[in-house]
Amino acid sequence: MTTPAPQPFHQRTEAALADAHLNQTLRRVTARVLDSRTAGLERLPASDDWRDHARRIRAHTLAHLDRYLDEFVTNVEARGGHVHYARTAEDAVTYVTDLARARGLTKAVKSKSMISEEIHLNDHLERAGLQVVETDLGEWVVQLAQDHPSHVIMPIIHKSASDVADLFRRTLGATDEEVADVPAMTKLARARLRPEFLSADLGISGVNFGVAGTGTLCICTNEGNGRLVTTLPRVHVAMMGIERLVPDIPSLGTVLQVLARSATGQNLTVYTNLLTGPRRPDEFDGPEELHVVLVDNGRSTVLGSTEAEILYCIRCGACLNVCPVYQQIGGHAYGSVYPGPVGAVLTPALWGQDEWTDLPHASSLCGACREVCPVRIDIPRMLLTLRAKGVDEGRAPSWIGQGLAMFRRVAARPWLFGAAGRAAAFGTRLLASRGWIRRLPGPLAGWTASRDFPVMAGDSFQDRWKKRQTGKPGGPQS
Amino acid sequence: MSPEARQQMRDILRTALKTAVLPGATPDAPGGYHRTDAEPADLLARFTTELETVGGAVHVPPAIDADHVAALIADIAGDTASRHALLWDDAHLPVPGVANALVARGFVISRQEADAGPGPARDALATATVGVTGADAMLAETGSLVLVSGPGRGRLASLLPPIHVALVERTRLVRSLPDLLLTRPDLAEAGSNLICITGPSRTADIEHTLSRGVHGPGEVHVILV
Ligand code: SF4
Repeated sequence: MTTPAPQPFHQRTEAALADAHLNQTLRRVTARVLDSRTAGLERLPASDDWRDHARRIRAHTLAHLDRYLDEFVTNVEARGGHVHYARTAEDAVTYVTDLARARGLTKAVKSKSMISEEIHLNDHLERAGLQVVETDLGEWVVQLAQDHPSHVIMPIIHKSASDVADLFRRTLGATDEEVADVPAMTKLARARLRPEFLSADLGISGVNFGVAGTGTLCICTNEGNGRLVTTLPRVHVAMMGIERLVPDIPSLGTVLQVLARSATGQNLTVYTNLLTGPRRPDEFDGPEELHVVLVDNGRSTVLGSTEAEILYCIRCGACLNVCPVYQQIGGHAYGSVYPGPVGAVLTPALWGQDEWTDLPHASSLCGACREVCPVRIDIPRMLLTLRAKGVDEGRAPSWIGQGLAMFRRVAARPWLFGAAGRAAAFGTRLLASRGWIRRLPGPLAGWTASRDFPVMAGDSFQDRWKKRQTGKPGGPQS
Repeated sequence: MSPEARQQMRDILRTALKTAVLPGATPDAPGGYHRTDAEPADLLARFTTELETVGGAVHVPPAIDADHVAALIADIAGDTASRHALLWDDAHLPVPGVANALVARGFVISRQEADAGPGPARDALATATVGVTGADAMLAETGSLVLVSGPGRGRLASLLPPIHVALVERTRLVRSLPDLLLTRPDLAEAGSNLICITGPSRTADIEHTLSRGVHGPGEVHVILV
């Protein structure tokens, strides 16, 4: 049960590119966040050394994941928590829905969790009869709009303030005053969601990091919903990817030093929440029960592959913001919960290239993602490996396969190659206006859907090479 | 987790690790980063600047006693109609007698009992307008407060009310969160919850426009004692 790719990638991309409103919003917001990120890292002395060290921590942890997960389970249990290893998405949702049934839980409040998007947890809980309320402002908007998040950090980057105001008016019956500006809408969210927190009996959160040595969960949020979700309901279920571990508390300090700065440019998120077990007997608040669901759902397969490095990711979102492709098409066009450069590697690595062949091609390989990544993941390297695998296994997008086959036939025959070149030069002159072609004919139209094509030179490189040889007796000079 | 499930998990991971390509992995745990840059000379000045940058405030009472602290809290709370404070137990506040001094200034005081779930007791706590707590550390480089939960020091006082006031001794200043977690890793497990609070609750979800107080307190004040 992964997310199946909906329409073909190029169709989704075209739709996104045609959406001028989306393009504007994306460009404005990603530029602003990138500026904040640069400032955030500049404020940190020796930020490059911190990043190198954070990478070392992630690499070491992944290389010993069997040991650290084992230690983590021992320590969560020692503090009175429960741990479940869910091999598949089905396994994970079944554990949570069974738990809800067994405890007679009726209302869940959720803080942001990519992994519950990944396994469609909400749908399953609702089908099991629970009321599920997303409480992160962005995720709440997504839920009310029956939409999907389009960014790992900023789920509604694709919506403008007036989109949200319209939505609140339509779905909540909000007055004009209540949606007058962003602070007013924030106040409305507080007022509407507070009673949900106070009455829910199940709190569901994601996890930024688990600490093997102590069984601690670290959850970073800005709004405070993460604290409410993990404090008020009597049962807390934490959904966590199996790769999200660090060995010990000091290592946690190091990765936190680069996470928020890379994500939003903040020094730290407003709430850096460390949870070690459920409420203790002498404490006044906190959940009575804590369950950690360790979700595999393809991660162990990725670990055993050439793309294992993508599991170092700490989900800061910086590679999305900096990616020229993401900036143009936004998150939805990728069709996966994990968009952008990280998603272009992670999605096919997790759930197979059969369905996700196109994604590794959704990149210009400019290397900007590797530059900004706080743990220096070499995304371009893995995109290339995945592309090559796709071609080798005959799963390259069909346009590449057909084009290459035809090129091979033509290029193997010099006379045909020359003739084809001259014909093309003639043809392009017929189609062009002012040296550029807006729309190529037939199957070539795909090329010009997103770019223009230049008129080809009248004489070919071969022709010019011959002329040059004869004109300069000394041969070619550089 | 059953022993079989644990064995299954181990087996799956060990098999995967045989073929994993993990550039940069070292056999020994790297531990936390040991920084070499010098501490800021004036940690308090840095703390104040950073907290103000994220929208919080630092106050110094003219004298350190319950009455002066209560006067400051009353000032911060403003409007007399909404004087309802949720406090940590006296034993965990660095200045004794603050609760009584607040009562003398017309405050209604709530104390946390063991939270019994949804119901009138919890709803009553949720109407408090000011939460008063201590703190285990102040972090200079980020303007953060670190609070460890425990008996008499509930999480809700720094979470439910729209205003959070922390009474903290200057000696609790530490350079940064990584520094604290490197030197005092035990703090992370001292209670079921260690919360590091960096300014007022905020959201930037809508068009990256900053807005405060969405779920947690919209105001964070530190009173130095
Ligand atoms: S791959 Fe790197 S830059 Fe991208 S989200 Fe993950 S940690 Fe951030």
